Amino acid sequence: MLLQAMPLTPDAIDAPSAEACEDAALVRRAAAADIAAFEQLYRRHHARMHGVIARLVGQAGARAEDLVQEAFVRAWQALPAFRFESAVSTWLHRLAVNTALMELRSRRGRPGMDDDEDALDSLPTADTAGNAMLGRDLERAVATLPPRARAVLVLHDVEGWKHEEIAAELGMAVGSSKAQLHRARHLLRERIGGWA
Amino acid sequence: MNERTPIGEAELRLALRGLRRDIEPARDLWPDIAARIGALPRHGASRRRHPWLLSLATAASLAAALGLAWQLRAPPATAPATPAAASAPSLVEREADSLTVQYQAALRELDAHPVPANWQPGIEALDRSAAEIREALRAQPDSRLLLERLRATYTRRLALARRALYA
Amino acid sequence: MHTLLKLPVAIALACAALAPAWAATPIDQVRPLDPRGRVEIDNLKGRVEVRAWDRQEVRVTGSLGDGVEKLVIDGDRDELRIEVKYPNRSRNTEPTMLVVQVPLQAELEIETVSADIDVHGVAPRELSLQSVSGDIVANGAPRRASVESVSGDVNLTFNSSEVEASTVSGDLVVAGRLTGEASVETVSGDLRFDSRGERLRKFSAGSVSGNIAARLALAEAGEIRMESVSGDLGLDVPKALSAEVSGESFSGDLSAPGAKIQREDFGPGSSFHQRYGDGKGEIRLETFSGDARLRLF
Repeated sequence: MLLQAMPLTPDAIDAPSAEACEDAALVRRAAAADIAAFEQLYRRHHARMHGVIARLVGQAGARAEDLVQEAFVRAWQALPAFRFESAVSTWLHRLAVNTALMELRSRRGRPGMDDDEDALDSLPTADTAGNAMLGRDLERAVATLPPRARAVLVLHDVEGWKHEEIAAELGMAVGSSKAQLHRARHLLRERIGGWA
Repeated sequence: MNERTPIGEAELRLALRGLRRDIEPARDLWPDIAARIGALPRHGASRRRHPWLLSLATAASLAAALGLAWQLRAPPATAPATPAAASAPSLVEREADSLTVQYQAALRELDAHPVPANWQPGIEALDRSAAEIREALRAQPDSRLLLERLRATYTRRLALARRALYA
Repeated sequence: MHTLLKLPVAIALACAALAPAWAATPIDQVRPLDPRGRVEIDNLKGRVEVRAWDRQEVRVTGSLGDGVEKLVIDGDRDELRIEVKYPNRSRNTEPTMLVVQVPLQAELEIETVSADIDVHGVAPRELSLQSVSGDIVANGAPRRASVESVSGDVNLTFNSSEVEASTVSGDLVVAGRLTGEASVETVSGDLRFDSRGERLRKFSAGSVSGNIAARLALAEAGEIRMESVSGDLGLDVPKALSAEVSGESFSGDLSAPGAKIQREDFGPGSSFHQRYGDGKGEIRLETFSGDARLRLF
């Protein structure tokens, strides 16, 4: 069905592309234990998955790289169960998000969020001139948010997910997701407010 | 101090959207991934060992598929004068059927895990409601109202099952 | 109030003296919190009560149920997290009773499974209450509130400009000086909404089989949307209504003052469209088999 081949994200709605068809062929081969085909999938999608994982955990680095590997290993194991209800890229994207979130969840409540502190140190000071806050500085500000709030902000405002999806993925109620988003946006404004 | 020009909501939202980019890792991760995969037992065996993984993967696919139904929520006025519009009633019907099939598949996986008692009344209420809506769809197959209610009910049902898993 | 707080502790101590085998552990902890700091409370079963006070402190009292792993109170002046930790696969844990006093404007997020939630007198920017089977009762003046229970009943009395509330099978009552936007939803519970005469910009209510009864005024060019499958919809709005009102039902009865109900020529289905006043706002009532009725007061 044409509709089932459509990617999830609103800004990428189009007919199944040649790329999607190639992905599908690679998936079928990889599901049959063809590791060369799986490497092709890695080459095609790893940067996107690494991007969203890095944003979710706060920054690119060893932790994000571990999670990318974890996500691909899980993808390898789960491929036989993939029924093409969505585009391959969407499925991999979700797996990446799920992997990062499971890790965040297991870290919850641990004192001394080192990554967040490092991110805070790299924030520009109030002396930084000009409106350079959009782009890299915004990215760094997002990295300083508390983990759960950051996850909701990244998934909603960056990746374009809906609250129901975020809530289901994070194992929280929809209301919590909305509350966390308000909180994240508020904190973000506080942190970038002084630079403009 | 610098002049303060507050950043508008729309501008901030746009900037956040702009953060969505691919990022190359600092090194090639493939060799490590290949090594880890090589150390796994064969495909068939690993399937048995990770039922949790299976249900997450299926649920992820389903969530993506359910997400597609949200794209269908275009109000009638914007339905273009294309062949698609003419076949709108059967489109809704087909979407409802496809939703149900995928939902049931995911649920089979998730329901393999026992649900704690506290979630039972809510889950039962959602199951009854989904059945009621499907019944209504038989009488009025082209109803967008019913499709939307069905999608919302399935989403809640699935979300509840997953919350129970994580609890 | 103070003696009431001491009661569970007194009982716990007395019981501990009589029967050492059953020993709910009393709680009494205090932490500083900024006036607009954030409090997160997590308790699986039992009860969570929250009361506002004018100190820049959070005080936690009550009793920990037997078998609970521990009570975690973690954080700083900005944000405090209170969590009752249960051992994995907990089966024989007793309920925990938490009574938490918070600064009047502290942001609040409470999550339980079967524990009831009772919140009184708070006025935060943001309030979020979720339970699975617990009942929720809350009153106060949150700027924004989000409340959800699955099978518990929810009863809210808020002065608020943004409310979202939902249940699955529990009943839902939302009343108070409600303005701005409100969104309420149930599946099979009964739903009642009353803005006490205040005007809303946007109101949406949905149900599958539960009945919905809403009474509110519409702000200029505001929007009301109510939907159900088999539940009945009842909407009461002031006589000075200025809106285009439309209703549609497959097999339910429709009624609106002065409106002519059109029936489909072939097969079931009826609808109406009626303008009231200048027709500035928009109201839409839609059901499958439930009745939908508009009344002016």
